[in-house]
This record gives sequence, structure tokens and C-alpha cells, in this order.
Amino acid sequence: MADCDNIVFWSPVPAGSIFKIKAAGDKTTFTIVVGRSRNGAPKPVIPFADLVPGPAQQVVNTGDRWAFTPVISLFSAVPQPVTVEAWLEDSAGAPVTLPDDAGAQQPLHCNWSFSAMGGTPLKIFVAA
Amino acid sequence: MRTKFIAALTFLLTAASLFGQCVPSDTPRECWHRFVPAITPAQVAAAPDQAAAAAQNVVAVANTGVTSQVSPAASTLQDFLSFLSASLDSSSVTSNGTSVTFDWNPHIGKDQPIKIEAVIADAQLSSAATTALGTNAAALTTLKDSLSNTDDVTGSLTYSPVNATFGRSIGPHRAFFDSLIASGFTVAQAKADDDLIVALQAAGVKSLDTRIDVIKTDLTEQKTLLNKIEASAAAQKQLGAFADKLTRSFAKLLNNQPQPYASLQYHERRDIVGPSETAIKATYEFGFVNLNTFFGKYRAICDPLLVAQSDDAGKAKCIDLLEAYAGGTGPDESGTGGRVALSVEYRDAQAVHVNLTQYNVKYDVASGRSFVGSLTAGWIIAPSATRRSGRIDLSLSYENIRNAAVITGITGPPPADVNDRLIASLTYTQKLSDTLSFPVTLVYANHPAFLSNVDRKLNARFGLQYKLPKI
Repeated sequence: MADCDNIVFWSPVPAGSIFKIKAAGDKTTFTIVVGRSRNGAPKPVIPFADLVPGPAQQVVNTGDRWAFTPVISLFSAVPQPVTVEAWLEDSAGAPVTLPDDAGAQQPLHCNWSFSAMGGTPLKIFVAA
Repeated sequence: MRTKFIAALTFLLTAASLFGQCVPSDTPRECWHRFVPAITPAQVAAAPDQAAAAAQNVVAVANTGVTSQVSPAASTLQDFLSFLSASLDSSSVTSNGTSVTFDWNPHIGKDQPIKIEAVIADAQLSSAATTALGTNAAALTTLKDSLSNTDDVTGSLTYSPVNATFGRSIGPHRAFFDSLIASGFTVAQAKADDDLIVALQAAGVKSLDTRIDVIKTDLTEQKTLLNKIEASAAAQKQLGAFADKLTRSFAKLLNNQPQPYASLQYHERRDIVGPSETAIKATYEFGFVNLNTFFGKYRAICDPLLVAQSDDAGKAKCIDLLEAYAGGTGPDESGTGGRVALSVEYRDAQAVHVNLTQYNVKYDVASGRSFVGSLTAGWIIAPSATRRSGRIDLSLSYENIRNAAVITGITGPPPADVNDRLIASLTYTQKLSDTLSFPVTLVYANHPAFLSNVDRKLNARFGLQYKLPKI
């Protein structure tokens, strides 16, 4: 599966959906934190310990507008890419889907990979 | 008149595109990417090769001094490539057909990795044994058949501490670094992000790939939506620049942290397989500008234990100090920071005495011993407006080797025995272009015989070095 873009917009998702995110890679060479805000108000960041191996999760309730901002920092170039994975599932663990431009239901699931040194932010908007 | 108006409008839209502002014909995604570059499919596909490519690019343009293959004036080009860069927290058993390797990487305490390795090799008769047996095929077969898995075993123990003072893992520094990164998440950004979500929801946007002038036909509403996307994207761009600069600065100091490494190895062999050998190796590498020296200088302001999680102003001050202390982060910008690597290795191979009376074979192999020590250091002289970077390399090596034939890992034309050899070199390499450098080297040897084609203890060398482009 190809990596997602660095901006993702998942809306409208069913209330009660659960946003999940995790990262993997050589822990000596990278770190990740996920900034988050709900309806414009900053919330505590999701720390590395919750993301690796993860997943960390956040329930999306009625009226919620979440902005998640993962920042991935690599302190050296790595031969084995650091991977970040984010997705939405319902309370039963089933994938949450939205129709694509052609009307076909697509699971809300993204992967990214990083191997070059530096700091990179992503943006994931999730709204019920 | 209408033609002029359309031309003017086209010009304005084109100009807006060039200067990073969005236009109604953009999709929200295209508008976002005017500020934040996209991850392209090509980049994603090439992700596994990026590390090698990045390293290659850095080496291609960096002033790396001269290589040890062409001169005793060794460079510290490869310093800080850790001996234990991988597999420090796992255990494994591997087999390659001729040996079985048991690899165990336990931790002492929280973050102190040690590496224990045992290699059971497929034992073979030594060349001394086969020579002594000559054409006695029956004896050769009998002795080969008598060899067992325990006749050629190597055990090693290596230790390379990883903590806040030693090692180049981000682990011990993660909490502090993550708190600095988190200070980049601002209230203004949260507000801009939420304004954008509200605007997209209000417009009924389900895909970021629909043109804005299709989403909204009213010009005012188009402009409002564009402004929301631009505000959020601009905040993201600012966060990206902040995170990247902080990461690179921190990485520079982290990768200059002192790295001790010690290894003890014992190679047990049956007498007809070869001499048993003991080896001790220790290395110590560090850069002068590292996290330890940074915290030593700015402990009062930037102590990770003192900077409160909620103190964004204090963190901002630390970030400024850290980035300034690290200096530039390009391949030729180590600033005043130099690097040093020390290495000593001692090997002792025991004597072998074989007496196989039933085959009328008796031979002895003398013991061997080697001591090799080296010191290498490199400093980048930062480029100026009128001059490209320069580099100073200092190299000092000492060797004392007796009966090299029985020492593992010593190669070269016989006799490889060396009695008290000291060679020192000092090299200045001036970079003339990205691929062309001019090195000048002074070489000293304690005995003239150790220098090729000269009969003086001190001599000078100079030349041109050209890095071939990637084919």
C-alpha cells in the first residue's frame, strides 16, 4: 500500500469511532510525538511510550473535531524505514469506511514511512 | 476590454501561484501543498534507498580528507560509525553452513547493553597439521573425522554503554527532546486547524481533491475557504521548519556524544586446528561539541530536570541556545567541533605443540602477540565567503607484532612482523569544489624503513583528490 499524503481529512466519521495511531522502527534513532487539539483547544500530546509499540487511541464523539499532528524525528538516516500507521475503527474493532470519489467505500487507514534524517510533521483531521 | 481583464486576472492568478498563495482552481490539497511539500509517490517508492542515497550525497560533497587506502595519512571519514549500530536488544541463533552463531544482547540495568556472542565453527585441520601429515591419507581422514563441534569455538563479550552521558541513542534524551518538540504545538495552530475543519465541514467537503471553485461558486466564499486552508498550512509549514531544524541540531550534538566500546574475545581451538587466541579491544570516540558539553555550558537554563513541562518560554530559550551551539548542520559545518577516535587492540596466540606418535608426526608453532593502537582526529574548518571548507586530520598509529602468521586478522606481504612501528601524520585538505580536494600531508615514522620510497623519518606529500561522480 502506498504511503498517504501528509494531510488527511476523515469526515464525517460515525460518532464513537476510535482513532488509532502507532509507530515502529529502531528506537535508538527516532522519536515521535503526536500533538492534538479538539474543537480548537490544544490537548496533551500523545507521548512516544504510547505510540511505540502502541497503538494509542482517541474516541471521536459527536461534535468532535480533532486535529492530530504527528511529528517524526530521525536522528540519522536509517536503512530500515520508520513507519507510522493511523486508522479508524468502530467500537467492535471493525474498520470505519468513507466513500471515495467514485462512491466505493474505503477504509480510513494510512501508512507513512521515513528514512532520511530530519523532523517531519503530518496532519490528520478527524471529525464526526 | 474583456480580453485585457482576463489577461490581468490570469496574470494575477499566475503570480499568486508563484508566490505560494492559493487560487480558486486549486483543490484543498494543492493549496495545502503550496506551503507544505507533498510526499510524492516517487519519494515513497524510494524510501528504502533514501538512507543510502542521503549518506552518499553527504559523502559526495563533504570534505572527508584523504582515505587510508592511498596514504598513511588516515582520515576520520568513518569515525562515528558505531561498532554496535544494530541488534543490541535481541538474541538470535544463526547458521551459515560453516558455523553457528549464538548472539545474546541482554541489558545491565535499564539501558546498558552488552553483547555476548558464541561462534561454533566447522573445525578444519590447520595447514601446519596437513603439511606435517603429508601424503598420509589415512591419517588425514582419521584426524578430520575426529574433529568435533567443540574444536573451534569463539566466545566474545562486548560492552558499549548507552545513557545520558555515553552513546548515541536518543533513548536517554527522548523525554527532553520530545518536550522541546511539543512546544511547537501552539494555540494559534490549534485554532487555525479547527477553523479549517469547520470550513471544510460547512462546505460539505468529503475529498481534498475537489477544486475549490467547484466546492464554492461564490467568490467571497472561495476566498474565505482559501484563507482557512492557507492559515492552517502556514502554521504546519512553520512547525515543519521548527521540527526539522531542532531535530538536525539535536542530532548533530547527539552523534558527537562519547562512545566507549570494549570487547573481550577468546578463541579456543584444538591443537591440530590452530592456536587458541585471546583478544582485547577498546575504542573511544567523541566529538568536541556534543550534548554533554552543551548541558555543561547551559545547565542552569536547559537542565532537562529543571525545565518544566509547561514552561514553553524556557523551552524556547533552550532551543535557541541548542541550535546556536550546534551551529550549521550541513556536511561541512561542524564549526569548531572536531572528532577524535582512540583504539587499542591486543592479541595473544598461544603456542601449539603437536605430537602424534601413532602417525609419526611432531611439530610446534610458536606463539604470537600483537599490539596495535591508533589515534585519529579530524577538524572541519568552516567555509567562509571566499574559501571552501578545509579539514585537518591527525593520525597516530603504533604496532608491535611478533609471529604475525598465527595472529587472526593480520594480512599483508610476509613477513608481517613489525617491531615497534610508530607512524604519525598530519593532513590539511582544502576543498576546491564539491568533488576536488587538495591534501597536504606531513608523515613521521620512528624508523625510516617504515616509510615507502624515502629514507628520512619525516616527509611531506601533496596531491589532488577527485571523487568520482555516481554512475
